[in-house]
Order: sequence, then C-alpha cells, then structure tokens
Amino acid sequence: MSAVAIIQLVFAICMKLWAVVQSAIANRNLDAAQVLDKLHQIDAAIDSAAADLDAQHDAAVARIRQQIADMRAAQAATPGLATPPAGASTK
Amino acid sequence: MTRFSFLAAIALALCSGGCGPTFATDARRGLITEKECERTAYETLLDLDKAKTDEIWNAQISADEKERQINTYLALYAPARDALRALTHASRAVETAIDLYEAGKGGQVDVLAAASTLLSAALALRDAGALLKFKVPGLDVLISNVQAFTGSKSSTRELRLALAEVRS
Repeated sequence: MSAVAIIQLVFAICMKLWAVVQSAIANRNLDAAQVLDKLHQIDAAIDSAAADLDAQHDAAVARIRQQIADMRAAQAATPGLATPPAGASTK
Repeated sequence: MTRFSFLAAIALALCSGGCGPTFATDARRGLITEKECERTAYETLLDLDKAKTDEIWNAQISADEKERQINTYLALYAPARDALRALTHASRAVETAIDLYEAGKGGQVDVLAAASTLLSAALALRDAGALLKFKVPGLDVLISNVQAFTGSKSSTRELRLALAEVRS
C-alpha cells in the first residue's frame, strides 16, 4: 500500500469519525433540549396543580366557616335554642 | 501517520465525551422524576383536602364541633402544605443551580448542595404528611433517588469535602 493510499484511508476514517462525532453531538443536544422542555412542562403543571390546591382549599375552608357562622346565627335567632349564658344551669 | 493518529484520537475522545450523559442533563433527568412525584403530591393533597373538607361540611354536628374539626384539620394541613411548598422551592433551586453550572457560573457542588436541601424538604414532607395520613405516591422512591444522586455524584473525596463545607 502506497503512502498516498494510507493517507486517503486514514482521512476517510477521520471523516467518518467526524460524522459520528457531529451526529452524537446533535443527538445529545436534542436529548438535552427534550429534557429541558419536559422540565418546563412539568414546572407549568406543578404551578397549575398548586394553584388548584390553594383555590380548592381556601374556598372549602371559607364555605365551612360560613356554614358555622350561619349555624350560629340560626341558633341565636331560634328561641330556646340559644346558647345558655356561661354558668347557667342546664337542668 | 502520527498526525493522523492524533486526529483520530481527538475524534474518538470527542465522540466518547459527546455520547456520554453530561452532568447537567443527568441532573435534569433526575429532577424530572422528582417533579413528577411533586405534581402527584399536589394532586393527592388536593384529593385529600377535598375529601376532608367535604366530610366536615356534610357532618351533622354542632357549630362548635365543626369549628373544632376544621381547626384540627388545618393544624395538620398547614405543615403538609408548607412542606410541599418548600419542596417546590427546593427543586426550583436545584434547577437554577444546574442552569448556573451549565453557564459556567456555578460548580457541581452547588448542584449537590441544592439537591441536599431538596432531600431535606422531601424528608420534611414525609414527616408532615404522616401526621395528616397524607401518603405521597413515589416519595420514598424519590428520597432514595436523591440520596443515590447526591451519593454517587459526590463520590470523589474533593466533592465530599466541598459539599460538607457548603452544608456547614
């Protein structure tokens, strides 16, 4: 094998290797970009879930507090059902 | 020939480096698993909160008893919600640490320190959740994964020392 042939062969191998390197870098970047994209999607979903939780919780607690207030108002407005004064006999 | 061998060696080194997972991407992959668990935790707490508040709302009890029950529930709910909020805050801090590392403005040890805080937040959520009988699906696996991540990535003596310094 002549020196020129060896040089051509090595050059061809280097070109193939370079193509592999470029492909690997491209795949790795695509993969990293996909990972980043997925991360942003989950972040948005978490923000949405956190907002849903706070909205549901605050509304439910407010509803119960209102129910308690309504029960007490009804109790106070009904003669005989009003809470007896502190210390009064219940007999 | 020597020059071509050298070029081939560089190409091979680049190839092997390019094919292997980078630290940032590796950490982000772990974070995706953590965040999926986090989202499930929010959804689970939402279901639990709805069930518990509906139960109190529908209970045929006095106003005083209803008030006592809602206050008892809130005393357990608040720490769990705070722990979940802290977990989200910690995972965002890990994300930022990875971004900074990638931009060359932070080290692996900063990512590990943030992951260590995330681990503490996950453990706190497990404790707070237990009081509320709030079992986060996948939380135990998540804790193991974060422990494995911080353990494997801090396997070198230098990293362990640096991390200990950050923790102290």
